[in-house]
Amino acid sequence: VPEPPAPSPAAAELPVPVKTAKDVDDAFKEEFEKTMADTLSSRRADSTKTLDVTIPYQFKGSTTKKTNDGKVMFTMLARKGQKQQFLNLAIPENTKLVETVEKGQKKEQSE
Amino acid sequence: QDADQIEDSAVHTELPPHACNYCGIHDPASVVLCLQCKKWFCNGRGHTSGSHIINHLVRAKHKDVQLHKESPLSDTILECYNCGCRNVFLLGFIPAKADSVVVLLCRQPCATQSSKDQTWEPSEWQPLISDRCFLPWLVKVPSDEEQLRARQISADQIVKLEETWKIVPSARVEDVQKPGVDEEVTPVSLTYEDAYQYQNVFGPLVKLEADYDKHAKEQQKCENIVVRWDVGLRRNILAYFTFPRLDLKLMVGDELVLRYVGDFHRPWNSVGHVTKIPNSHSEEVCLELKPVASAKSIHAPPTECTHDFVVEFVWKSTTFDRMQNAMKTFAVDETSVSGYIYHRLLGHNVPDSDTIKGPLPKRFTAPGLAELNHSQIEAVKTVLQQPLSLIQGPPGTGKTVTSASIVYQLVKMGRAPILVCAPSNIAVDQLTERIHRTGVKVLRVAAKSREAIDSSISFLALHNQVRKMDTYPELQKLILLKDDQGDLSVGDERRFKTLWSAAERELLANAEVVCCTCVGAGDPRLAKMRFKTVIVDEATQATEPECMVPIVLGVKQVILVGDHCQLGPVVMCKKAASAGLSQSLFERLINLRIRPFRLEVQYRMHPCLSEFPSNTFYEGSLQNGVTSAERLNPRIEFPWPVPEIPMFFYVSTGQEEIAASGTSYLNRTEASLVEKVVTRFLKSGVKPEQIGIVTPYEGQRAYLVQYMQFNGTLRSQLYQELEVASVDAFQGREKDYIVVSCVRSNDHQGIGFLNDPRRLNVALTRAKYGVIIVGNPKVLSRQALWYNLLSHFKEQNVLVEGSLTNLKPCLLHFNRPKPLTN
Ligand SMILES: [Zn+2]
Ligand SMILES: [Zn+2]
Ligand SMILES: [Zn+2]
Repeated sequence: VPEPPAPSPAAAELPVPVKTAKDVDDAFKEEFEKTMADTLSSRRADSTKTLDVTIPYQFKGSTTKKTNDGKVMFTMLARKGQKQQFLNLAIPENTKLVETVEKGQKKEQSE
Repeated sequence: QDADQIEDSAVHTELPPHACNYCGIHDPASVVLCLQCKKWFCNGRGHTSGSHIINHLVRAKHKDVQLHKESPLSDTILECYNCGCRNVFLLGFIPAKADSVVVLLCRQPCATQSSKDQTWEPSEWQPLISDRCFLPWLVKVPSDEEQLRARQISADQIVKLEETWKIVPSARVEDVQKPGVDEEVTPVSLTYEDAYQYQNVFGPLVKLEADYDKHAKEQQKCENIVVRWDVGLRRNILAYFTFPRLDLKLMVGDELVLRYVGDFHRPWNSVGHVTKIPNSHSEEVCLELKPVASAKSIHAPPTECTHDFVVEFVWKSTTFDRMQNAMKTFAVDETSVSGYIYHRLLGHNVPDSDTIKGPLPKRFTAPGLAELNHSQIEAVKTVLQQPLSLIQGPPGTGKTVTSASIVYQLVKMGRAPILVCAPSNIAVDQLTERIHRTGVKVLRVAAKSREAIDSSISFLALHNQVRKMDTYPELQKLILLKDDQGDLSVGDERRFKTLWSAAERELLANAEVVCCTCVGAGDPRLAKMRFKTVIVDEATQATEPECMVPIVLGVKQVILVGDHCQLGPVVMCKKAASAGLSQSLFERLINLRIRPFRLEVQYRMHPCLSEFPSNTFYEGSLQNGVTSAERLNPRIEFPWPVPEIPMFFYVSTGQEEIAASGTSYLNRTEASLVEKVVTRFLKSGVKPEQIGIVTPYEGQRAYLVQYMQFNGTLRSQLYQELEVASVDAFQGREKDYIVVSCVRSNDHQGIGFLNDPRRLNVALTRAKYGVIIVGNPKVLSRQALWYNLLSHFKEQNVLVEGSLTNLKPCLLHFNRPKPLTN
């Protein structure tokens, strides 16, 4: 049986690049920013068109309902295949989305 | 064929398909499906700066996701309501101006367009991904507690895993974590980050032991077997034969294959269960064969032949599968143990406030059992109130009574059903019997292969209880039919099995206490059951994964009873043992500074016999519950060198030899001294069953049995009734008189097995009335512990030599041991 070759001393002494967890994580952050940027630049703004999404009549004038745990119930418009879907979505009170809607509702009431 | 194994694999606990492919979190509200690769990821960050799903999407360059159908938004695919774009990096919500309605739109172009009828506010577009995480109110971020229990995957491992998926899409975290085949195994540690790390350490160790066991079993093929046929009580065919090899560790209940390879019959083989192993009566093994329909069947054994048989071992992975399964359950099923127990088992610091409330009983002694002493009462009282307890029971301190009393009190406090386990069937049977005496409803669940084995508690066994039930008349009819005919029609057999399982379930559901071995707790029949309280007796003799099998059945209270100063679990594979598999959970918890409650009054040994073990192994804490007078037998005339001290060290200088097997030792001089001592005992009226002969070597055991039968001066029948066994075989038991043959006697080598202090402790603490040690003090004294023992004997003038009728103090001077010997 031939003896296995002895490991060459050169190979044994090659420095091993040390990658810390922080390096790996920083690389991820960078890649994330790049993904965001690339995605956006692949689309062109097209502000000449107007957005045509109508709110179904049953949700027209719906006022905000608060839950016990500091959230506000919203309806999310979605599609499943060709079918329109209305999903319940609880959004925390202190978000921009909620503020916007509540401001709008107050305005409507005062008008 | 093997019902046990098939059913076992069905109950393997797997993570559900929607578990995060990184960390295993599987709350439907917290996970999303990547539509490109069909893998699920959670919205928790773990140890990285983005959530797992974002990590995946960025690294794999995937973009489309779908929610879980049990999540608040059902199985919605996240896409732009206007144009259908599914790129999550582009999507965001916009609110209506005044209605509580939102819609998902892509940032460009849809969300940049102005709203036609002024119902929307596109300027308030809010991205779906914020801070490298999905909006927490859309996809729930798992709680800290959940994330702590999840697999702790590092950013580095995520990179590796994503790289691996490009080549092997089905790869799992375990595959990138798995050490190479030649790599060293990770030794056990004191604490574990989480149950995944725990599983990653113990899994490979159990695998090593399983491989070793498999290899050892397969090596044990024996040829040229001569069979003696007989018919058993239940008309089963029995095959008796002698094994040419002594080194086989055969147990009652083991499965063997008997095969005919001669020319006088067609090839035949059958599986059978061992019902008798070699003992001092006979070296024969008895194998009960699987029943056959009739003597004419092709499966019928060739009872006209006696020669040319081969015996093979059937290796079963069941034991090891159950341990692996338990560790997996511990890792993936958060209901397997309570949060408190989870963290304590892993060695985390948890506030100790988690005591169990409820009124304590007024009396701690249980009906039908001996009155408890002060330290036993304290033990019971403490244990009832704690979620995790260790009870240390030194030899003869009434561990079993204490355990049985605890079980009784737990039942009375309404904590039934309680699971009671021990590593060995003997220990389980003993405890079952005691618990039964207290009057609680106890059920013994044994492996199917052990059902034929009779014991004092057979009537409590599940299968016998089923037979006695009167609520299933149809089942009773089928049982009678089956007993009578040996077989049932296909339809009847199916009906029989259904009814039998239903009956088993009913009995289990009504039991207050279920008793089984640790591994038996992994029985599929118990898989659906939940036990809040588990008590493991002899816990120091179970490996950690073994001890986990009963624990992961939903436990909130764990009681471990054992003694880490006596022998630990038997691990055959050296590599696994040295990596720490031979350390019990009990021992690790002690190392984690969980203080055991120690029982301190011993009722077994003559006070002279308990003195050295108490001082050496229990910091002198053992008190004697028996007096010298109660342990002196005036009717037995024996030449004790000091009459009031019933022990001595009998000096022998005969050389050790290597036994015929080549793997063990024997010592002829010692054997002849042992024979003289034993003969003297028998002559003075001690019965053979009162005497135990302990020797650490199989070679010496076999030699002693033979030597005494042929050279003993009394009837050979008397010597046959003596029990000669290893130290390990005597653990947990007692005899009136113990004779120890040390065997090792050489000028240059070590003392091998005798080196283990725990083995010495067990050897010294088996006897009630007297101990005689036969050995070479010059050799033994090189080891510090033996030096102390020998000095103790010498001080008391019981280190003696010469003929039994004229024992004289041995004046041998032995040197203080050098620390490096052995
Ligand atoms: Zn993907
Ligand atoms: Zn995850
Ligand atoms: Zn769009």
